[in-house]
Amino acid sequence: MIRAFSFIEVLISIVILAFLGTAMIKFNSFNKRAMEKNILKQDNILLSSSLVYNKDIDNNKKINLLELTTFTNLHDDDRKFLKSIELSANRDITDKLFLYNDGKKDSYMEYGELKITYKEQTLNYLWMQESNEK
Amino acid sequence: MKNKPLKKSFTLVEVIISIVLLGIMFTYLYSTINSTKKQNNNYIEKSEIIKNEKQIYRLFNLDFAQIIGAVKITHSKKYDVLEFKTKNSIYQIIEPTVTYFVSKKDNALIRVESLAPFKFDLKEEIDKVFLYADVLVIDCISFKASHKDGFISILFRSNSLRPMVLKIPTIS
Repeated sequence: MIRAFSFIEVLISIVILAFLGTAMIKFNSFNKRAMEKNILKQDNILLSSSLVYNKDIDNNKKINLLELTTFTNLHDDDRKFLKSIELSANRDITDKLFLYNDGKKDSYMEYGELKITYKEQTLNYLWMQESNEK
Repeated sequence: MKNKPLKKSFTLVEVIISIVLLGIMFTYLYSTINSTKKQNNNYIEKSEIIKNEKQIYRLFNLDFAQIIGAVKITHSKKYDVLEFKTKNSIYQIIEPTVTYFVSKKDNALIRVESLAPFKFDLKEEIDKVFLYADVLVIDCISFKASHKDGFISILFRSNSLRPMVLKIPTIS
C-alpha cells in the first residue's frame, strides 16, 4: 500500500505554502515602500540652477532663498516661505577647456558640478562659464 | 454477507481544524493583498504627481527661456498674470502669445496659448480661433513672477505639487 500524506503533514505544507505566498506579496510591497520612500525624499522643493549660478556664494554657506530671488510685490506668506528655505550651494571646477587667445589673454571654459542642498536633498547640476586670464 | 472495509476518511475534528485554519489564512492573505493594493495605488498617485510636476517645470523652462520681447506682468496679492510672446508652442502656433493666470473659481493655474493676445472677455468668435487653454494644476496657493536683468523669476506653490522656485535666463 502506498503511504499517503497524513492529515498533519498536509496541514503543515498548506500553512508553509500560505506563508510563502504572503512573504512574496509582502516582499513586493516592501519594494514599493522603498520606492515610495525614495519619492518622498524629493518631497521638498524644485529649484533651478540659475538661482545660484551667477551669485558669488561661498561654498556650503547657508543662504535663504529670498536673498537669491528678485521678486517684487510679494505677499507676506510667500516672503515667509522663501525666507524659511535655507540652502547651501557647492560649486566645483572639474576642468578648464582652452578656447582661444586674443593676443593678451587666454580665454577658456570652466565647467564642473553645482550642488544645491536643501534639508537632506541634494540637487545636482552641471555648470560652465567662459573666463579670461592673462 | 461480506462487510465492506471502511474507507479511511477525515474525522469531524480534522475538518473543523482545516476550515478554521483556512479561514485564518484567507483573512491574513486578504489583509496583505489589500494593503499591497492600497500601497500600489498610493505609489501610482505619487508617480503621477511627480510626472505632472516635471511637465510643468519643463513647460515653464521652455516657455520662459524662449521669450520674444517684453513680458507683461500684472501683479495682484497672490496671483500674478503673465503675458508674453514665445518661440515655444505646444499647438504648432508660430510665436504664440502665452498667458499664465490663476482662475478665481478653483485656483487653477491656466496656460493659454493663442495667436493673438488673450482677452479675458471673449466676445467675438474670431478671438476663440487659435486659442488653447490648459489647466496645469488646481489648488494653486501662489503664482508670482518678476522680470529683471534678463532673468525671469517664478514662484509657484500649490497644495498638491512641490513648490517651484525658478530663475530662467531669457533670450531677449
